[in-house]
Amino acid sequence: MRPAPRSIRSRLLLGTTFGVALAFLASGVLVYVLTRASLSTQLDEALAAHATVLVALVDEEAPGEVVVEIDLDGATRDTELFELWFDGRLHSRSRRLGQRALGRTTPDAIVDVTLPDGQAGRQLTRTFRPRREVPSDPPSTIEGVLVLANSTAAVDDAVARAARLLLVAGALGTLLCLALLTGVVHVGLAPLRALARTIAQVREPALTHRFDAATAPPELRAVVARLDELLARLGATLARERELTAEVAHELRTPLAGLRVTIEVALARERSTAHYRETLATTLAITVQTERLVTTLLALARLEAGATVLELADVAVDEVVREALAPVTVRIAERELALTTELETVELATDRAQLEVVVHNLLDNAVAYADHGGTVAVSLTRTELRVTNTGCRLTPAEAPLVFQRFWRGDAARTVGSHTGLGLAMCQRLLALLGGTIDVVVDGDTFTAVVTWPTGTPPP
Amino acid sequence: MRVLVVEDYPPIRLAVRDGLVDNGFAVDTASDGEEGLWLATSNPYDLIVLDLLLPKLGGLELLQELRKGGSAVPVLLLTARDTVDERVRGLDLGADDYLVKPFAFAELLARARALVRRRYDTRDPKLRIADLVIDTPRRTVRRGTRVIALSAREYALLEYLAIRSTQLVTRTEIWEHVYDFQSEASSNVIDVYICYLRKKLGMPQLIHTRRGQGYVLTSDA
Repeated sequence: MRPAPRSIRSRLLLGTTFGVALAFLASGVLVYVLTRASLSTQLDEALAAHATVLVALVDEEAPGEVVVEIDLDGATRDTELFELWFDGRLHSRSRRLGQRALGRTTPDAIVDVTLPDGQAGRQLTRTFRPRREVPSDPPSTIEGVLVLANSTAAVDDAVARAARLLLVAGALGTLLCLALLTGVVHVGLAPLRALARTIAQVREPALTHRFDAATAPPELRAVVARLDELLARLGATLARERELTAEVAHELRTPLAGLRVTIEVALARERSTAHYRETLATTLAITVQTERLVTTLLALARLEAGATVLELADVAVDEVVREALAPVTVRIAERELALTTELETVELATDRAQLEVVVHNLLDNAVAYADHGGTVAVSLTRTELRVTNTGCRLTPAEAPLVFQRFWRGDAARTVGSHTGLGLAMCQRLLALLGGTIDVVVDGDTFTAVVTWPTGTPPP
Repeated sequence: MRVLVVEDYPPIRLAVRDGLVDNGFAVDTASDGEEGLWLATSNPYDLIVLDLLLPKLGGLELLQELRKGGSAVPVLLLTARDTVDERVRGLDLGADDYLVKPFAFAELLARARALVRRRYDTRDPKLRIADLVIDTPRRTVRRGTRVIALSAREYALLEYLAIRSTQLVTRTEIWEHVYDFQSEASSNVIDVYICYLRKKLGMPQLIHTRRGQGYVLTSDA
């Protein structure tokens, strides 16, 4: 079994929460990086500016005589440390350094270092020439080096605090968004829930309920419209089924009533053997008739359900007609009918069994409904089959009704009579075979005209 | 009692006819509406059993024609469709009762007897004239404590005279309403059976002759 798809609600919540968290994270990282960069730039700038100030405090009053006015204790800020070198020899350093050395690094650059007390820091090594007392004197030949370092602990602390703040704010923001979204999604999905409730209320058996697509939100309009179409189709099918069930019940009632009353009357008192025999023969005939009705109904139901599978082959239609004529010849003789046949040789790619049902039904009808001593004519050409009989009592207006289930016109119901389903069956069968059937009433002649697709190539 | 059965489906038509004949009814049958209407208007039936779905002329149309012509004959409808509409329509057009197919023959018989009683303004299924009691559902006859055995023909004649007791019943009426007298060639067959009945019923005499008119079954002379 496939896992159930995630709900729209959780999809929306998960998606937006992930997005919001990502946005918070990205902006947090950005703020962190920018803050950190700006703070260390400030630190570096302060370091360079102070170095400039310190260098200005070194004078060469007379050649070789350097005066340093830097206060070894107070000249540098709380966390700053310095070393002063002349011509490669250490001149002085912050008293706080004691015997510990800063050491020179890349000249005229600010680099990351580890300070002697183990803290992280930034360090600037600046080379310079001490200032001459008299500006007109030639420049000093002494090479001075100032090493100035400062701890970055304060900056790091500030940045870490900012990071923590951002993290907490991001988490809280995400949670707040989640809570807000839960509400929004709930409200947003309300039309779906309303639709579900409306669907649940459709209980009437006729399925006549229709949803109003105009009142649905635009996203649901298509769904609602399809739903209405589906309901309409289902309702129509259901109505047809109900009608059929009622018709079938009605059609079965008459033979059942015949069976029951025949048997009850026969059993009411002692009868002769001949009478019992006659009763049994009658009930058997009714049973056979009912069985035929049920069989035909089932075949029709299968046809309508599309469960009939066609087996196409080349079929000699004239042969099918000749074979179908054989079983009715006795009745043709009994009823003194004049039979005329005009059969061309016709071969057709079709389903033989189904075609046989059609031809048999048409011939059977013609022989049954022809007047005593009347005429039955069968003609077959490349394009059509015509079965005609005289003795028709239908009006031209009634002709289309013959395709209705159980329509018998004015004919009396008799045992062994037709089920009233034959032509309905023929019509559906021919639709399946790609052909058509039509009936023509002209005076007292009734003609059934069957056509098939003319595209079928002759052999 | 004379009944017309109008039904196109032969098994029902024939079995209903046989069953009614077995129970002392005189039965005519018709297999389509036109024949049914013609018979119904040309004979004084005590009951018509009428199918709704008939060739040539539908049951309801037949009923309508019949009532339009002023006939008051009781009509029992047989219908295969048991929708309320159908039944209401039938009753509104002047039917007296209906049965839905398939039905029990015993029920048809009971309804037929009830409709015939109503036709003759009787409600009690036992007809009583002095000490004579005719149990119509059982088709038995007693006089006082004595059970009287009658042939089918004798019983039919007595039942008809009894249901119309105190009224003058003409020989034509007997001819028209009582079982298979019509098939008898002899014109005095009615007199012969009246004679049999008088003998079997005993004294005091209940069947009185109105010379030149007919007979009256009554305890008052």
